[in-house]
Amino acid sequence: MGGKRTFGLAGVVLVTVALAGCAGNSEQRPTASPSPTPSGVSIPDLSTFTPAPNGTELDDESGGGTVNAKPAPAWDATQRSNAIAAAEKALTAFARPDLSSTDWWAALSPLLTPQAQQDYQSVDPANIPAHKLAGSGTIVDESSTYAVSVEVPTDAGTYTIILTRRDGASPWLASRFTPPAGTH
Amino acid sequence: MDRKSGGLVAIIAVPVLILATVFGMMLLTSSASASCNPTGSSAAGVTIDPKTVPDTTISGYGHDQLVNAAYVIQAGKDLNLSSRDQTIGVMTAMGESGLRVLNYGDAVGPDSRGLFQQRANGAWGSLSDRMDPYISATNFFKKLATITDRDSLAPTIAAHKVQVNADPYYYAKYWDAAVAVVEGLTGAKLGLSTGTGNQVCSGVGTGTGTVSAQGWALPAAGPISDPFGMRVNPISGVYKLHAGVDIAGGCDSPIYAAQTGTVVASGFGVGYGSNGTIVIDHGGGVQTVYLHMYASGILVQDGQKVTAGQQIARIGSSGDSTGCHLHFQVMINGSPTDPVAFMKTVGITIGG
Repeated sequence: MGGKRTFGLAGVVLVTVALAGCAGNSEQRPTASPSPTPSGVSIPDLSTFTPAPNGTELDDESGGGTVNAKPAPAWDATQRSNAIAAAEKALTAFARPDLSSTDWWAALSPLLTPQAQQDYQSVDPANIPAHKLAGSGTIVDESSTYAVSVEVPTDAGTYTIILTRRDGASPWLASRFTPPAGTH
Repeated sequence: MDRKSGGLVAIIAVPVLILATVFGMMLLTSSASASCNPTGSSAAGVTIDPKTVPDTTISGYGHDQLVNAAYVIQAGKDLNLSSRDQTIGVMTAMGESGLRVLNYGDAVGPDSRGLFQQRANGAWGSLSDRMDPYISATNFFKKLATITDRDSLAPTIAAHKVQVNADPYYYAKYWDAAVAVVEGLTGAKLGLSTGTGNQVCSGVGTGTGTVSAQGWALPAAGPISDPFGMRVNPISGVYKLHAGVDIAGGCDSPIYAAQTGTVVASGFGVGYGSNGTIVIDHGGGVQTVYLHMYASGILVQDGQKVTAGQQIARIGSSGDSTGCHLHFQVMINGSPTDPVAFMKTVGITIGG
């Protein structure tokens, strides 16, 4: 997990370098003039595409519902503060080793992604070393506006919480609580 | 169960699935996922006499620790467990004690003892039982054996369900060393891949896709079985937008990240109906969406950084699907666009 993440970041750096290496050759691209995002990813000129209009009904295979386009959210002070508050709220609910499993899960599970609800349901809260937050959260990765990594200090050390959201209007849900090194 | 019969179960189960709860879906997922773990002779338990462990070091574990690993392996063998189960036992003991018979616990469990840091709550026997490598491993494996769907769980999740520790993903980082130790001590090739401690499928490795000059990758090989556009749904019969392109790659064949980005959704019930889902955010308002994988075929996790052409999944048939295929979708500011046209502009021909 720690190793994988390092690899992932290294990969991003490698690609960034690779893209930077050919940035001067954009005239060789035959059909589009990609504009790099802050992460160095090559994105084609989006004005050349015609996405489905809002209100279009989606079939079940595509997830159902209707198209409801929302511009990608951008990080600003409010967005950051919301993400940090969501991380602190989730960790506050998580760090309750004094509760019964039933009470702990009832409070925590609504704050989790569906995948995390599966993976964390067997945790015995008594084995959680943290009892309370010991300070404010800090965003440590905001390279996407749909997934964020927040470090939050506790009485047992600093946790890293990964949260995701569907779009800018949806709540942040916790996907992962990585405990301080030396605890598990 | 072999892959073919897994696929058959999936096809038959689809009508049931539509009406079923998520639980029903997970049963289907389970039946499909055990097939990617070692079967037959490679899964049978392996054996090593602790007295014959050589004076060597494997993955940083010295002789005394390897002898303890041998006791773990033997305890699993004597319970007729598979080599994957035995390796899960070694992985767990690595994570709990570094393969040392600890006579102390930790902050959350001051009473924890031994290779598996078992508590003094009566569930794990007497103090001498918990301090005995073979007996403590036997008690670990007895509980592991009650998790009948463990071949459909990642090794770290299976271990976590025995240990009920605070971080379900904790043990994954010990998996590769556990595979090396079990193979090194027994001389057997287990058919277990490294890097799979947090994945259901321990018998399959991952590959890398080809990246275009523009830095994009073909998400999956195979012909187009259904294009983007308005259509009659083959199951519901309703006329609506099919918001992606269906690529008919075979069951379990690789799915690659179309571009570098961050995984922002993964799993089931994450905004794309009952389909097994991965969403990657590439920035600039562009996301790519990959649907229909089984739980066992989702190889990435939320927040993970992926690079163009990195394998992220295996093709499956979960959710609203009548057979193994990848439904690939490109979203621009939350609205789907024709992925074939989009990918063509970045040098990728889908269905080619």
